[in-house]
Amino acid sequence: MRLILYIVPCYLSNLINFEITNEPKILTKVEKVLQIQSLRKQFGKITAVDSLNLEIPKGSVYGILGPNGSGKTTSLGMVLGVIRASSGSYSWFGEELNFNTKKRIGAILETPNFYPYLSARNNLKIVAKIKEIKNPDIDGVLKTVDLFERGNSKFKTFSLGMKQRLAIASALLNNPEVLLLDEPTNGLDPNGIAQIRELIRSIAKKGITVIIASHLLDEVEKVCTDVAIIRFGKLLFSGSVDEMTGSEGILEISAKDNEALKKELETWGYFSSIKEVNGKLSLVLSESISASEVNQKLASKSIFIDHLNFRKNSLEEQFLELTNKAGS
Amino acid sequence: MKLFKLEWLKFKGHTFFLLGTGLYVLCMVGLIVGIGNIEPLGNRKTGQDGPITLGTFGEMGFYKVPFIWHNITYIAGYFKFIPAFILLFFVANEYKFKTYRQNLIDGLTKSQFYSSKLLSVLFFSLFSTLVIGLTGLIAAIIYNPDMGFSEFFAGSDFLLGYFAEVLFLITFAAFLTFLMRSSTVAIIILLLYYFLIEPFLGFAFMGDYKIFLPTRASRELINEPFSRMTQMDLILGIETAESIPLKELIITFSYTIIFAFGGYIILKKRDA
Repeated sequence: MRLILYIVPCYLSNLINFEITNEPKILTKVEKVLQIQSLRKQFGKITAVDSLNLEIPKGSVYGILGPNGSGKTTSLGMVLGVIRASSGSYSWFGEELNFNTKKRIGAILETPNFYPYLSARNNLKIVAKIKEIKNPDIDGVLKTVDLFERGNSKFKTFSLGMKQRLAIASALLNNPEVLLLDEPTNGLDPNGIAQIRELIRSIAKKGITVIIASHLLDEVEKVCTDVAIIRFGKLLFSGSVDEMTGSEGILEISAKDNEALKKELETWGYFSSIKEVNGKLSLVLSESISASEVNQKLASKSIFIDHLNFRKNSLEEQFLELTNKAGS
Repeated sequence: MKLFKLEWLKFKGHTFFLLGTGLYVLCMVGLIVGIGNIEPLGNRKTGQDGPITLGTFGEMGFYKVPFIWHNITYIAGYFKFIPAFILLFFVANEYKFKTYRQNLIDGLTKSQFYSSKLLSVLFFSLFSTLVIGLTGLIAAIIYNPDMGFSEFFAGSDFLLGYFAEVLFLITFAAFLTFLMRSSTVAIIILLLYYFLIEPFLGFAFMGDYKIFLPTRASRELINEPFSRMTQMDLILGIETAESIPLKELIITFSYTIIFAFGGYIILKKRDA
């Protein structure tokens, strides 16, 4: 009986999955860890998060960047199920948030939250109990975050940096597929910041998707592969960090026949990405090339451009530009 | 069982809680044992003859079955705020340290979290009833040497009354903490309501219906036992109960359920 109960839903879900995957094959290529659809949160008259759409690809280090009070923590609170969304939806690994999906996520919201009167070890035991981890590798995670020697000290005796690291340890306890950190370096000294960043990088190397909310551009630029920029609860930009900063600059270009132009440019291999924005192609350079060179090469293929703009900007510049635009 | 273990993990590391619980147990045992030596009028040794000369509580029959159960649960009733406060702090801490939120993120549901706290409420009420019950039983055995084992429990329905009273108060305290999310505010409201607002309401407006005020019934479960013990009630012609009143018991349990459910609704409706 139990077997039948198990098999029938599996069979049905296979049928449904088959239908879905049959259509947009390209979309399912990159697995999405988290998908957010028009998520909104209203606190009285204030809209803290306004129809937010976001997709976080598997394996990325995804930065959610925005000034203080931009709705980052509220958004994360909603997708973690502690704040109720006014409208909209989200899914983790294509499923709704439940005990099983929660077990695949390790998350810390705002500050590290532990029982101050308990030792680090006992705090981790509580987390392990909640997540129903049979034989938690408490020593292992404590070693990962370099707190093994202090494992029996009470949480309240920890410095802020140690608290942050313990929070990461607790999030790693169940070998999560996603690690979600909210302002992980907030209030730390340079040494502590470096430690946390190194830790995040080494975690990401293991193939764990990392989501970081931060108001520090520098942090996102240094640690993340992808970025979403939020202000006043609205999404201003999402894409790869390279795309945003353009390590060698960004080229904006257009011609009468953008399709032909695109095809030609794709053969060059100078660009790490090509996007069409408002009838113009926006290219992120992976190698440097001069404007005259571009012009000359295209002319030789008898493609004549009517717009060419070169720019090289930092994430900061981009960020300010984007946030100012939204503010005005 | 998972929830119970979880609560134990949270509880056992807290020195204040452990110390508070230990002190409570000691207090209760000490009180029940020690009260027998107190002379309520204190005029025997001085030799001055007042209108009435009384011996110690012990000599008056404080430990005699069936009065013992009535007597000790009444005395213990004065200290029921201790377990209520311990639990109140225990719940408020989850808000103060934001561990409630973290528990949810880590995988508990709101219902599970609430059940774990209700388990603690129930455990504390049972525990303090057990402490009183065991001490009472030992005292009963010592002071009633001529009785058989089954006779010791005569009149022990007052233990049930005590359990209902403590369970109600702790549930009420937990409800206020879930409502206010702060230990200080919850304690102030609890004390103000219990000792000021409700007595005032009872005097001012309610008349015969005051038994339906939330905490009223729980206070009347165990009434003053000494006139019954000293047979003063017969002299003065007042009626005293020989067992706990059923109506009050039902009202107390009903309010306990209402507050337990109310706390759940508050938790469910609010963002963590």
